[in-house]
Amino acid sequence: MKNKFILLLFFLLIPTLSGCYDDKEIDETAYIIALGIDKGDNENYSYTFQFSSPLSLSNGESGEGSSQEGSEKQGKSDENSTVSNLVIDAPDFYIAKNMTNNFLSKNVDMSHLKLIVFSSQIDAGGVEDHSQLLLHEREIRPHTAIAVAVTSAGEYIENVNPELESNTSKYYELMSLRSNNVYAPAKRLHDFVDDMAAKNSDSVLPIAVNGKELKNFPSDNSISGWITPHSSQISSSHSVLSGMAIFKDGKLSGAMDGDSAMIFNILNRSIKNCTITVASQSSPDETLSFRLTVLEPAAYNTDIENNSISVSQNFQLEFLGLRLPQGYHSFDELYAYTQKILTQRIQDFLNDISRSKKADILDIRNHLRLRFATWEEWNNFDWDSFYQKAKFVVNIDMV
Amino acid sequence: MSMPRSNCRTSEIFSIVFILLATKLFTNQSLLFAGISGTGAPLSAICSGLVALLVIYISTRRFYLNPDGRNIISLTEKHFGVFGKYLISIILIVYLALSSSYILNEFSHLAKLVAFPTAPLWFAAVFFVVAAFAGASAKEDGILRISKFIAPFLLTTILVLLISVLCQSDFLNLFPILGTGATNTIGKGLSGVTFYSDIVLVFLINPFSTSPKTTKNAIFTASTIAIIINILAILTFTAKIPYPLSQDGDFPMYLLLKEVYYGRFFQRIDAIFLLASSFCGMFSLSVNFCLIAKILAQSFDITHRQATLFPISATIFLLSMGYLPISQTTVSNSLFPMTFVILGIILLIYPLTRKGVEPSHEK
Repeated sequence: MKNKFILLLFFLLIPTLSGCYDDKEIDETAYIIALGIDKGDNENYSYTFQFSSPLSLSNGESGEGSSQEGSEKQGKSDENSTVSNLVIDAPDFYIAKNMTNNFLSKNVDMSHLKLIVFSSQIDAGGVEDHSQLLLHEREIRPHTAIAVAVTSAGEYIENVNPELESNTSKYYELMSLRSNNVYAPAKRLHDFVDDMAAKNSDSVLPIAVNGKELKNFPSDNSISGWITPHSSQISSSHSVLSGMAIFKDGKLSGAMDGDSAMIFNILNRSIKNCTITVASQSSPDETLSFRLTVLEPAAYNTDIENNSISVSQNFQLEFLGLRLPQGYHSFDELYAYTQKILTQRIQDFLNDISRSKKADILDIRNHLRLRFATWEEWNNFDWDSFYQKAKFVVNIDMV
Repeated sequence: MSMPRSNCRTSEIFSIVFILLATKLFTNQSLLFAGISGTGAPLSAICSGLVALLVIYISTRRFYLNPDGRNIISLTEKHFGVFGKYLISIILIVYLALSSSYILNEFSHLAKLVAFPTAPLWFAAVFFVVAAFAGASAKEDGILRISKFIAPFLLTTILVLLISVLCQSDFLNLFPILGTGATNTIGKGLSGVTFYSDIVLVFLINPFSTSPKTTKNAIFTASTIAIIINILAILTFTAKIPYPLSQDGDFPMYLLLKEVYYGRFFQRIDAIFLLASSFCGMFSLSVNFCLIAKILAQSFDITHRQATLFPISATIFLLSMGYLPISQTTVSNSLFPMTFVILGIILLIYPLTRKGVEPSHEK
């Protein structure tokens, strides 16, 4: 009798396990894959929701429609037909999200959100508040990519038209989180919130920009012999991620170009290898390319008494040419020259972020904190003025 | 008063002790260390763990050498008479009820957060109460048997979760090593010993086996593993979520779970986490319900189990959901001093039980 009673209790549990409170039909759900947040004209913010359109995705480009439809499709070849964009001006994110249900028959779901783009026009509080709010959303993963648009976040998202990829959601994921894009920092939502809330609010975010606008960026490079991609042009008008926006004390304080972002990625070892190009010593018009393998993240050693920060890192360098270029007597000489140029470029980058941008984006303070026993001792140390006056000594070893 | 022996295996003793000590890892109690010590949380966790291990060592060394298989109630009765028996029984029942209410509340919130976002809280709570009721109906022997299946699953899930996150953690977040100060980290941080308070429940299920020495070793080994896992979890949490963010989080294990990233196919390990945490919560509740029924039977001769379990379940459900005039803050605040009272009683009885030990039984 007792066993039957227990068995009955377990059977009673089965209906509760069916998840009747949470039923979610996939064909009744609209999945947001990207979110753009701009400054609103009439309200505080303008939200651009980009929804995945699975039916267009499954139909692909092989549409079986009429010729008229075909010509229409051809006319809109630059438009991404696998997504649907929706712009809502609202004082708050949740009001905007609720408003989507005013005209969408499907339930909005954010569990497939891959990219969040903020406009550079939004005030500092808006970026921080939205990041924290979105991180705490149950449906949003902490690994969601995050970026800053130079002009309009909505415009960036609407212009995204994935190359060689029919699934926009997958494109965002590959592009932002697993790409070999050396010219933009790979930042995720939780990284940014951690930086804002726990690391003195100094951080970086990749810049989302239209390909043709890249040329408007000023170059950060001042080292002769170092070749940057700055003057290079992308023929496509599609949206790209290049360069990095600098946040100081939670505020957007400036931007750096894609080349500086590459140096940032090298120092952090966010990229394992990349190609660097220098001008030949004997004939400056000749370019010499090398494959740089980053063996470990940079190590920082702070000398408080001498007000200096020593930066050391190991690389593997491989010349991407068939024979020794003219003007060099040996490969050792070639590598020594390249090492000198790279050291200067890193030195220049470090001076730029500490003196000009005044932001500890490499989180060097975290390395010095090791020497302090308590937070009280650390807080009594004036890190900001030390960092801004510190002399950087760069030691790189080529293995 | 001598109690009948159970034919309980060492692996079952090991499992139940491990689950009882690892349960609180899923609750917000593990935030205690970050709140008090900041980046010194792992150091506080190590100090608390060592103190807890010392108490467990002393307690098990004495109690499980009892040749006649007495539990804490019968030992108190032996040394302090009927009054002592009633007093310790009431203290234990109140502790178990408050602990159950705390566990039910925390696990219901966690289950709602992970799996039932649109469901009301009572829905998740009913789920746990019904399961605990059914589990407790199976008596302690049944519970001990089930523990053997849950413990390896729980241990594997926690280890996979922690190692996955630990690989991507920044260990520089652990500095300054003394966090908010030595006084907080080593002094106030010792209050973290309450994290292991449920070990007292072990002294109610007796005698564990016919071999006291094996039992003693099983309890001590399980406690050591559980304490190491707890320290590892707090270390991972402090390394992954930088201070001061670490002190404001909700459900640290859930926050760590969200950090696990194995690519597109293995993004959602929520389901495994939900299973592990639900098993853990249901099991702990079942043990608590079962022990309340056992105390009522041993001390007050209320022997009808089903008739006892129903009002117990209902009361704890109402207490946990705030339908009774005792807030959850009062419940969690009361658990803290009560743990010390019970540990004090155990350590008080310890010197008195010395006389009753016959070394020959240890062989």
